[in-house]
Amino acid sequence: MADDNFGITLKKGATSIGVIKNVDPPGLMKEAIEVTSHASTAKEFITSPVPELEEFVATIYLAEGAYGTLKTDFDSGTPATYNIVFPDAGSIAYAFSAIVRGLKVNTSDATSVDALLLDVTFRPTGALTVS
Amino acid sequence: MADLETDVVTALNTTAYKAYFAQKPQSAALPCLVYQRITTGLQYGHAGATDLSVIRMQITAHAATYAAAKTAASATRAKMASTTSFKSFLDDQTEYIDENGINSIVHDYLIWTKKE
Repeated sequence: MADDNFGITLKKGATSIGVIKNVDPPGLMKEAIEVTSHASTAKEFITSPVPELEEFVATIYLAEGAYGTLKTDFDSGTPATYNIVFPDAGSIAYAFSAIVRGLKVNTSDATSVDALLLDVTFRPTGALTVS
Repeated sequence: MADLETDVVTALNTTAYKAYFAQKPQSAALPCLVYQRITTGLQYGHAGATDLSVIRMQITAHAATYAAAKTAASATRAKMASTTSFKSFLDDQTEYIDENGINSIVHDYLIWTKKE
């Protein structure tokens, strides 16, 4: 059975960061290190032993009152624990530490009216725990 | 939660034009207005529906002459623009004359609101 992508949660600890319209979950990546030699017949790579949890953006409804808390986190720069729970049948969950690196209210175009939204940029730091 | 239609009627009703729901009563004097909700576009977050929605409200100005219908439609547009109860955007306008000779101008407004 295919799972749809509606119902993802992103929380700071156990607390919602607002009403989420869209979230682009962080990718888990390792750097590819080229080890091509003169003996190689094609390019060769190994991966870095240290993985990176990539920066990501969550878009929330600005009017729902989360801006103040996020601004406090932005000002402090202190990493906090965040949790993402995916709406799949197995409820795969991410836990990681991150700082709030950016706050950006969306474009307001009078000829294409939309809800007032806030893009929140998170910079994960440290390891990802998957459960 | 407050009702959007109540606010629409409050905004539209004047001594010159009375607003009716869905259909002009046979006894209603011309010119008059008829309003009807066409769609309700709830805005969703991942936790479910928010309390914000985009509602398409159709308001039709009926009058005995085309000129009177134009005047009523212009007055409607001004009222919808000036009300502080909600924000509305004129999205579409059509015109027709029925078999009884009544001239009608149909405005579709998109209304952003937190009201039901």
